[in-house]
Amino acid sequence: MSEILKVNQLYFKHCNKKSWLKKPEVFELGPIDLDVRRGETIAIIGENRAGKSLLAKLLVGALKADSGEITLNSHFAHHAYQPSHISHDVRMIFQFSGEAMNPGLPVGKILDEPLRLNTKYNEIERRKLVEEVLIKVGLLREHIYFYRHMLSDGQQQRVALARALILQPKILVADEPFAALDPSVRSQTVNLILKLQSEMGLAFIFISHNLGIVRHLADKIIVMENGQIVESGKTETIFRWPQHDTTKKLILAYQSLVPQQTLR
Amino acid sequence: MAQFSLYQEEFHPSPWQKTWREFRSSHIASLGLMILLFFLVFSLFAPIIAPYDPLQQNVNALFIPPSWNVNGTISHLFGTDALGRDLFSRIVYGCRVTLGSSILLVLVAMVVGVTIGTIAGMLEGVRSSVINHLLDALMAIPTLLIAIIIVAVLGTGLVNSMWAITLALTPQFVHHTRSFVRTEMKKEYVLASKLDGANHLQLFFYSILPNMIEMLVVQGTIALSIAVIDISALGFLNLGARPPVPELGAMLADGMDVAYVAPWTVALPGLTIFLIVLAINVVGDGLRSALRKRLTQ
Repeated sequence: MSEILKVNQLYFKHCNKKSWLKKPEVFELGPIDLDVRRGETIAIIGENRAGKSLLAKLLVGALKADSGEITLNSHFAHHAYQPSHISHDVRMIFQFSGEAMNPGLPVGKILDEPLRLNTKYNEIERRKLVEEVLIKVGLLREHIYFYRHMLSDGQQQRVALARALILQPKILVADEPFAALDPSVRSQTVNLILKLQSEMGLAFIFISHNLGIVRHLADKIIVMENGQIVESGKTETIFRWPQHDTTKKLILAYQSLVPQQTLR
Repeated sequence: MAQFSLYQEEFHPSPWQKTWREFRSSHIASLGLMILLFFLVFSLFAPIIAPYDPLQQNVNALFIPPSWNVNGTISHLFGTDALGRDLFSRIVYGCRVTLGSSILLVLVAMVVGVTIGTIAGMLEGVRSSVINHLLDALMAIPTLLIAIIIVAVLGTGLVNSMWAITLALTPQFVHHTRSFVRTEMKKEYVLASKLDGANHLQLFFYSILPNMIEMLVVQGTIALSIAVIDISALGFLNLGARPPVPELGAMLADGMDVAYVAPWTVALPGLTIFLIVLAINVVGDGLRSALRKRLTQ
């Protein structure tokens, strides 16, 4: 298993100046160290305002880190890497996939955009790729002509997945991808991601509050609190022997909901 | 589910076809569009439609009433005015001057306003604010008043009044575009496009502009009706088009002197202005609701 992403001492400071009379609210993230291997699934869990989404945005390059570095695929890349670089190898699925779809464009155009901007395919080849990726995520070719408002939440999620997959990334970062879905569609999506992961060798980093899914999907878990990683390790280890207080709280809360799976 | 393509033959209407379908389902909007098209045809093909030269004076045919009057003749459909000019020809050419110049100046104002507004919306901080409020002083004064001031400086004339109205209409476009671009830039789909590697220009043309059309249609039709009214108002006040030019407002002013003798010389141009403005507003309203329905249903 080769490393494809290495995060070294990543640090970000968010200063929220609401008014000049009040003391500004400061949120600090990191410093964070993280290794991602090929085909690995990492779950980020933690309470609200723990900096999970922020970390995801930093990883895909939607925000610029204040210091630290992200090394991609063993070739050095600073936090200010080229946009073209980032969109190829690390792709993101947003928390509200509906909002991440342009309401004024049909699905075909939305999926065409990353190809048009990042590859040199002509129109016919792009169209073919779009159709392929739609079928891959379990949609139909006809969805090319569909607008956002014609699709259900699950379908929007699939479009977001298709958009992320179309450039054949190595790492997929997802911010609560399953939060808005009902249980059956959720498990469909989970299975879809597992299938695609085994097909394409994707590394998958996701944020979730649903520990059942985390336990099912993840190889590794990162627990965050107040912008810090407080605990990380193999999924089963964390679920069976949680060390930190936050982790214990989260795991206990999960186990009280699922009485059958007691600690043994 | 994916290996079949059962619906490949199905017809997928383009966005504009969908908008058109929604638009046609509203009868009032369709009627407005017909009236507007009627006037557009008038202004495009004025030389073919008009039976007489609008400037040709005929001493033998002064104050002939419209053809539906007992004393009217069919050779002058809408009658003639004080100088014996055929009123129908003058109204046809008047549509050309009034409506045509309004459309032209609204397009110029829209392009300039949207450009400035977009630049202001994409920039941040003081620069954005400066660009945004560049033309704000013009917004404090009513359009007609600005036009009168500009005409007073540059001299009367149709072209000068057109410049004046363009200048007066631009700030509205700047403001609406800027606030629209600002709110859109915060949305996640723009962030998603940014992550795809789109620069500002691509972001604007491919992501934001498709969503902006609705706003542009609304603002454009409002501006167009304002422009028609202002052009004819300036013509009426003798500040815009000079009297021999067949401009609807100027014709109205001409007719005022003989309103008691020949009421049709006032009523018919006035009715034309009214119908043009009404049609523009009805069409704009219909288009707006059609565009909204297209995206929400």
